[in-house]
Amino acid sequence: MARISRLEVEARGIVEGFLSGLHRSPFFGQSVEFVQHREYVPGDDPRRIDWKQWSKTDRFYIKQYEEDTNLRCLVLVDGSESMQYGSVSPKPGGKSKFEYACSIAACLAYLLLRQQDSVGLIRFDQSIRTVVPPRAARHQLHDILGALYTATAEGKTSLQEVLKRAADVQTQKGLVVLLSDLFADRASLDQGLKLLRYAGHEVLVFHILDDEELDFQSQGMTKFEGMEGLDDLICDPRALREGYLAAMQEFLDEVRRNCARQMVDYQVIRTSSNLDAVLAKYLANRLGLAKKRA
Amino acid sequence: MPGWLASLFVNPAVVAPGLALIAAPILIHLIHRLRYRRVRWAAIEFLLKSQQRNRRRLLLEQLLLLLLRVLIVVGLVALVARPLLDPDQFALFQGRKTHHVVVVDDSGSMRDRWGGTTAFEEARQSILAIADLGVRRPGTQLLSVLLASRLDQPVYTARPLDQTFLGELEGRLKSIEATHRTVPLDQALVAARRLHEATPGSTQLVHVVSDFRTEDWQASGPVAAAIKELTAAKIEVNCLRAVPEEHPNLALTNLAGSLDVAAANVPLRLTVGIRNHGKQVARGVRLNVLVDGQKLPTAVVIEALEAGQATQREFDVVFPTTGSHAVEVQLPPDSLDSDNQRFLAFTIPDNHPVLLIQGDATSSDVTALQDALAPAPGLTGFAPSVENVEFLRRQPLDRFQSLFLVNVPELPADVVRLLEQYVENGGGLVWFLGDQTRPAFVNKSLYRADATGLFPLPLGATAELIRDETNPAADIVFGAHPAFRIFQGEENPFVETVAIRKYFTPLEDWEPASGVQVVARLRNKSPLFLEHRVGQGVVFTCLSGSGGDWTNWPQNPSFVPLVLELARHIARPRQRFDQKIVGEELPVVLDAATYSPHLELTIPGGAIERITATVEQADGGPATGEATTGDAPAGEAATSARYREVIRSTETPGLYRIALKRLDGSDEFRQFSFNAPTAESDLALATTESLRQGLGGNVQIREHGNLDLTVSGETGREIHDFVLWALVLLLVGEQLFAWRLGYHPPGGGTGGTAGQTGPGGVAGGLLNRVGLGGRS
Repeated sequence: MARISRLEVEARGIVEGFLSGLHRSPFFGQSVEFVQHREYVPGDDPRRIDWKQWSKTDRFYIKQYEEDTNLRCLVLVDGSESMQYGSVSPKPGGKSKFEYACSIAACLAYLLLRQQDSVGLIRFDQSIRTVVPPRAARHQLHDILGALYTATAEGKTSLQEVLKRAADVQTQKGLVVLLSDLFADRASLDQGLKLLRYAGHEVLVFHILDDEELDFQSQGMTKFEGMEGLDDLICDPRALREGYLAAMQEFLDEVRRNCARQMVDYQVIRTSSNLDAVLAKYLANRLGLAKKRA
Repeated sequence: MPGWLASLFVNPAVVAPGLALIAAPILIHLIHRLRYRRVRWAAIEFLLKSQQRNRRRLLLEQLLLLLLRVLIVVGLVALVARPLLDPDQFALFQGRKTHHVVVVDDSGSMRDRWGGTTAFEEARQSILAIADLGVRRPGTQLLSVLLASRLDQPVYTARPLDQTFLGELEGRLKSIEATHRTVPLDQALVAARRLHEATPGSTQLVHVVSDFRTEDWQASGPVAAAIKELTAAKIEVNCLRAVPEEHPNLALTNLAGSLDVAAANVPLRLTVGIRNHGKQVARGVRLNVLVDGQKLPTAVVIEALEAGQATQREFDVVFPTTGSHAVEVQLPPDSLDSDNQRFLAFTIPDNHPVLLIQGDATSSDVTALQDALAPAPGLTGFAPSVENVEFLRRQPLDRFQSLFLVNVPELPADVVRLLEQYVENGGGLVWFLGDQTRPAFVNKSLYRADATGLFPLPLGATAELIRDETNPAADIVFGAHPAFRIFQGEENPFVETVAIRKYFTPLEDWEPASGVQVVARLRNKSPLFLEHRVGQGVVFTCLSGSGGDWTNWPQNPSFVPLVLELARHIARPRQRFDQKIVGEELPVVLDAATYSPHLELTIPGGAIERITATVEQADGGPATGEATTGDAPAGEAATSARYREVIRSTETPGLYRIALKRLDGSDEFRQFSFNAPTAESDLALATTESLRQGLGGNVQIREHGNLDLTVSGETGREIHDFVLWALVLLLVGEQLFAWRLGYHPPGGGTGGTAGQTGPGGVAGGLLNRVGLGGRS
């Protein structure tokens, strides 16, 4: 947390907002920081014409300012039963996917609130279980953390419904962060992402998976008990490993392709990774990308 | 155990448990499937998908791996059970029986002893092992046992092998011991072949149980030839060694002496021969001597005897009385006891009659000889008598050990003929010449150019040996001859004073014929003493006289030993002292007019056997000179009835004593010595390589202790090897397959998990896999 607090979080794009902050506004309005002059074209607000430049050049220019706005972020945390999985990690204190997702959500909330951004939270499984509307209030962090840590993972995952509801909650354009293992219907995920993007939201997907789910190094005769109502399977995992990894890769590729198609930022995160390192690296990349775009 | 199963496996007893073991990998597999851990798994969707995709492949792999493991168990069982894939062994299917003929070498060398066992005891075990093999396949196996010493009496002939017979065989073998003699192994193999010919249609095997000494099993020897004949006749030959390694052995090879002139109270010099058959020097060998069963206080000691070398030692024994006597020499115990004893039995007569014929009654030449032969009665054992030439015609000469003809003139033709007969029959004749000697008569009647006459050379004129004062050399130069043995030393002060004054010279162009040996010459190189054999006798000729003007030797002290040694050397053999070998027949022929037919035979060990000899008519009588006819001249035996008995129970080395009863009521004892053959003493073993080369590659040679006689023939061995190699391939294949099916994380993974390949070897990997490496 301490390390994370030193980081400056900047959104990749300029979002709409009315609070001054470090986030760039997509609009050039009244602000203190002048950016550039642009020749007037019909349709521009005549009030923004720089008359001094007209007097000097006899041409109409309008002044453009960089205007700081507040980020409006909504964090979606998957609280389904599959998120409860956490392998017997080689490292002591290993977390389940849900715990890991909660940690990410808390970090983001803390950082954003510290920068006067507004943060909201939705915890869901097959339906939305908890909603904390985005606010920049002081007690917002406590509300979010309370919603996270008093909850347990259970139920199935139903993404389309949840994402549609998120779009409703997040009426203004902003950032939607989805923390999930995405073990759900891929079509509904695709539809949900489309909805968010259609609503103009920047969508960020943190695909949280356990090492064991990605590498599948289980050995010895095992009875795999399916979560979220799926069948059980008794097998020697070594025999199925190759097929399993292929299926998993196929799933990841499909999700990655869908996200790319929707212009959704997608990141696979292992629960064995250090949380601060993951966030720092990701946000640094985001900042770098944003400056390039600017 | 079903018989058909027994005929297919060497160790059928392990087949049933082995087959049960086949279930082990299957059971382990099933148990393994029931022992699993539970994991709640979020990504079950992908596992189900993987399983759906690989279901058929997984099933096939699983079955294949299980099959490999079952085959490995089958291979292990086969390795122990030893399947018999030799077509000859399929007695069940071919309806053929297998006939095992066991040829047992029961020669003296099989008494080789080491570590509480003997070669023959090991041979017994080998026979029982062969029989035990047959018992496991009842109804299909026949056994014949043939002792090489008793070819005409097989111990068993084509007996079906079963449990009852096995017990009988064991008891019978315990009652059989190795002989002390040499046995005809080649003939035994021929007899074995005849036994096979008596059971046509059977699978034929000959097992030869022997120590396989180099002495008997040379590549070019008759035994090797007999083996090759067997293999050429498609008879499988299996050689089983009864001895693990060569053992050192000291052997007495000879015990002899001048028994013909042995006399009471006269020292008798005996010679004993000893050979070191070991590979190391034998030191401090002590030979004990027993005279008439009494051990002499002194022993013959040999300081060192090199490996493979032989030596002789002489010792003197004195017998206080005449009659039957025996000498025994003993070696310290070693691996072979038979040749650690040597026996010698003989009879000392009252005296040894010697006839002196003088040609000149006035001469004192004979007197000197007579005094030399018997200075006093009983002192030398010789009983000389002096007669003239006419005596030769009147009296039979056979009772005299030797004749001395001294200065005899011409002899009548019949006398010459009698003398020739006497010498041809073994008598000894000594010529001393003199004034009466007629060279013309000698050259005409006595000399023959082919050395078959009584005189060795044609006589020339007499000559005088001029005394040369400037030459200090002795007049006589002795050659190597037993009679001159005492003159062989460098210091001969007496001999140097002997003067030969006159002598006969041979004719100028005379050259010694074959068989004529000049044993001493004068210093002028003219021959003085000659020796040649006529028939069985010896003629010794002195070309000078025995006194008078011819020589001063009778006055010289050296004359007496010369005459005594000469008399001993040429003495007519009165007894047959041939070295009897155990197993030889001992014929006993008794004059019916003198002896009772009842006799008692005492064999070594003290057992007494009472024998009644059968009457045999003279015209069918045995040849003269047989062992026990010394008291019955051939002429007498030919004209009267006699008893004859042949004693064959002479298997044990030692002294055999025969007690005879004379018709006048008195007793008579005779002793005979039987010794082990020296050919059995060399215990050097033929190497397996040399046996293979000598006997051919088709012969199985099994080392000592290898009682696994179950698989016979090259085919059987190949099957065994095949099973072994198949098992190795299965193990390797299973490991590779399991490796391929297993999961191997980079960097070695978690390790220690069952099913992962790693150190521990094939067997360890197998156990791991069988135990825990099952597949779902």
